Amino acid sequence: MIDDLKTNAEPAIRTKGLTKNYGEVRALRGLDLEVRRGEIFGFLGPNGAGKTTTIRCLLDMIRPSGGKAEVLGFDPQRDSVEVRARVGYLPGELRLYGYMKAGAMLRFLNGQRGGRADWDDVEELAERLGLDMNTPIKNLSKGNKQKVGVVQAFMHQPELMIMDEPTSGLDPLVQQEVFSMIQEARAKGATAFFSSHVLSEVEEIADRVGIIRQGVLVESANPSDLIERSLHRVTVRFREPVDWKMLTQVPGVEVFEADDGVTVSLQVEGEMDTLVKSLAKYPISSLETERPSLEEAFLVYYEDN
Amino acid sequence: MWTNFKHSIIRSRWQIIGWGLIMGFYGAYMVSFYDNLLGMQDQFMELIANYPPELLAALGVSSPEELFSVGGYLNTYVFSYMPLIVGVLAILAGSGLLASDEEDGVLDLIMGHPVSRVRLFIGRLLAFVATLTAVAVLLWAGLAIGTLTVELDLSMINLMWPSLSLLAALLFFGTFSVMASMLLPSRKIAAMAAGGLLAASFLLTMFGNLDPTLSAIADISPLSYYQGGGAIEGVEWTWLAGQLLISIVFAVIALWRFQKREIRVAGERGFSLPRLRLRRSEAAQQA
Repeated sequence: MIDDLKTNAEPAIRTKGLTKNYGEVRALRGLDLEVRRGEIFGFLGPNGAGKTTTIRCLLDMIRPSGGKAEVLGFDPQRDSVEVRARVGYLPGELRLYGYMKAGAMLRFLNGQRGGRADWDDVEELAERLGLDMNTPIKNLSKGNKQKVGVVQAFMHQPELMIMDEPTSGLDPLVQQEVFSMIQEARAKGATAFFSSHVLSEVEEIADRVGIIRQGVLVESANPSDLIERSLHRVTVRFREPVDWKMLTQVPGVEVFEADDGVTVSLQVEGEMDTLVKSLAKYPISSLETERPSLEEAFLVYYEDN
Repeated sequence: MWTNFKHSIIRSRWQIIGWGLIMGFYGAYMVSFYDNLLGMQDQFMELIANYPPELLAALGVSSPEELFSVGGYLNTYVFSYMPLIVGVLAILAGSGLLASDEEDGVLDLIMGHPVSRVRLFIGRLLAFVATLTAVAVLLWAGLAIGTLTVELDLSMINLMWPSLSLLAALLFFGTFSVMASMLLPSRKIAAMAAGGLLAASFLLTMFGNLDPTLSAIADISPLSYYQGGGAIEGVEWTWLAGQLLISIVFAVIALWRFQKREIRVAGERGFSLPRLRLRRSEAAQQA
């Protein structure tokens, strides 16, 4: 009981100075990460940034070279079985037994959990995703195999879902269904931690995102804050030609096109307040701002790369 | 643990049926010829007198007369090369006990479930032992069925000892293969190492039989402690216990390495063996 109280007060995932070296390659260089209970957390980064390495350290597939990790208040190495009993894991490189049928594979995996999942729930999940449980896995497409992976990650109603590219290979309709399933699980109190390359999907469902770069967390915020902080593209049309060069003096503003002095395209970093006030003294015909996507916000962190 | 045991046994069912039935039929077939051999003993003695001693040594026969005892006959025609044949199953199943699923990437998914490494290992190891035991039992059953067609002054228990001796040898090489798969970079290399040990052991034992001066070296060969058909005359329990004990040591080392091991994902390489060739830059420096 005391343990339960203790673990409920802990964040779902916490790492402190987590490092992982593969020989001379430093995959994680002191990762500090915190995922709160009950949130959907998107873990972003390009290939080789350390996303999968982090996930595999959290599940004791690989052992960190240094630092500390906690999952639901447990040490993933010392209490690995406890951790995995509470987690639904979807690997990025999902492989299944080709000779089994989808249903048999799910029964086998449920057996690894001591049969904890209610089979009616499993059938319901399969039906939602349009998975035929009687098809041999070797005959399934990549997307259908991924559905098996999604079902096994959700079937025991885990406290925490750790998913590496969960929608990989799924068609847009099924992707939406998976998002709904994640949101429903969150509504019941579960936490979702997932990595993705598809930033639009992260933007759609994540409460917070973390951006990892070269094994270090460079940003952790909610998607709208990230977008607000990133570059906005603005196109200003003046009623008559103006001396646009004064706009380059405005902090955070960069003019990148001003052909005739009537139409000026520029980009603004951060809030637009100063720019709007600077423009107020000119006759303006129109002002268009383009809301950046999470992708653009994300790319700011990788400009140097 | 039992989920993994059951699953591994179900996966091995065709190996058990295939290997077990073939060995069983072969055993029954060979035993049924024993009467015929005795009837033609004189002609056979003449024939065998012309055999090169190397051939008799390879069959584990020290004197031609030995061929006509039940134990000698079974050893020559069934058990002498059985470790080489069924050893293939032991080595392939052993090297693939965990490394096969690991290299295929399925172990990553299984290890995402609440199963401890110890339980997973033991569940699969027990299934592996059960598979080899089932093959040995089917061989024994085949021999027993074969004795129904000939008159042999032999109890079913006595007939069991050669199969037990074979099982001990299979467990030795099988668990060595499991251990090698946990120590070496890939399943393929582990199987090659275990296969190499088996072949070297067979040749060493054969040369030891052929040349008494080599017997001291042959004593280090694991197959020197394999009795085969000779076990009918009396089981060397210390040999049997020694083989089983070493098998347990191999299994414990394999388990220890598995607990320390980082689970690979599909397509990920293991560690590289040390390079024997110098790098070009190093070679240039030395020149």
